[in-house]
Amino acid sequence: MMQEQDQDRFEATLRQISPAAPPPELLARLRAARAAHPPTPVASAPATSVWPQFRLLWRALTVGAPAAALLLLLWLAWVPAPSIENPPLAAKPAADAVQVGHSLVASFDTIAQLPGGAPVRLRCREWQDDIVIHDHVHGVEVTQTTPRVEVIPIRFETY
Amino acid sequence: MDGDAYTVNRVNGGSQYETSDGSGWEEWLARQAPRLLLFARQQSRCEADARELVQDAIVEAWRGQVNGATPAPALVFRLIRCRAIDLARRNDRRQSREEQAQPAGAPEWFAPVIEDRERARLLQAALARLPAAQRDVVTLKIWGDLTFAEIATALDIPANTAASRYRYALEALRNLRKEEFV
Repeated sequence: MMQEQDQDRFEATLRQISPAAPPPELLARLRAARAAHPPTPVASAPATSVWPQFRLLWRALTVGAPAAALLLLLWLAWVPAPSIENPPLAAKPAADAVQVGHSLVASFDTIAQLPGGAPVRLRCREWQDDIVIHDHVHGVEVTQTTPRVEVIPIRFETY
Repeated sequence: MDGDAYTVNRVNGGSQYETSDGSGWEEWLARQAPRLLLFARQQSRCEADARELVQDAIVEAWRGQVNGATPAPALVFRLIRCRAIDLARRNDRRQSREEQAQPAGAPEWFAPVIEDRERARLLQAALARLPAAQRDVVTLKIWGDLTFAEIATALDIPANTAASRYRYALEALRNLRKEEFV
């Protein structure tokens, strides 16, 4: 096997020979493809990815709020009022900017079999959903990162 | 943060945000396109397929980024490999015909200066003779400038396997063309 010094020298020799430049035609195609597909803005997340989270939040609020109000009333009825005044509550933070972003982490294909034995190709993509909530008044920033896997079945081509 | 400067998103393995005038994208393209095309040429059976692979992978990776960020190179290399496998399955019946036609119109993988032209030709031939698994690793390490961890992600293999394949590939290259490279 090569000594470490020899290996470094050999690697340097190989790196001196750089890959051929892509033809102008390919670069033009890449620029055209980029122009045809504008970048995804941070705040314009697809509704399909935000809607389930909103529905979950709404469901939790509609179910939880009456129960919480009932518990609060019961607690107020049973617990005597404190003799000293409570300190004033801090102002509640209010989100004045919300950013939702998605990053493609990985993409791969796999093959599965249907119950009948027929093969089906599954295109799998791993996404990372980032939700950032800012409260500029109070200087609060809340970040939530959620991994998401997207699986799209594709008919397996036979010949 | 400077408004026009782009920042490195370390969470996503080297993604970069481009500047408002798109110079970040142009810099990324100028730096990565030769490497990606070299890898795609090794993964495909003809030049047209290699260019398609590069375009499809870059567009797919780029569309997955937020706010115009340039994608991590390891992700694009991985997409090229995945799409090359798909393409090979579809084109299986044409394989022998295209492999026979390949040598006559094969593009040059490297762009040497005049005095290195012969070495580049020999290097291309030596690389072509390597087992594909070793060739992938040495290409991504030397000319793709990826770490072994990134190579592991791109090729879906353990990092230790990538490192050992790299050592074997270097040894094989050196033995094949010792007199020209040393």
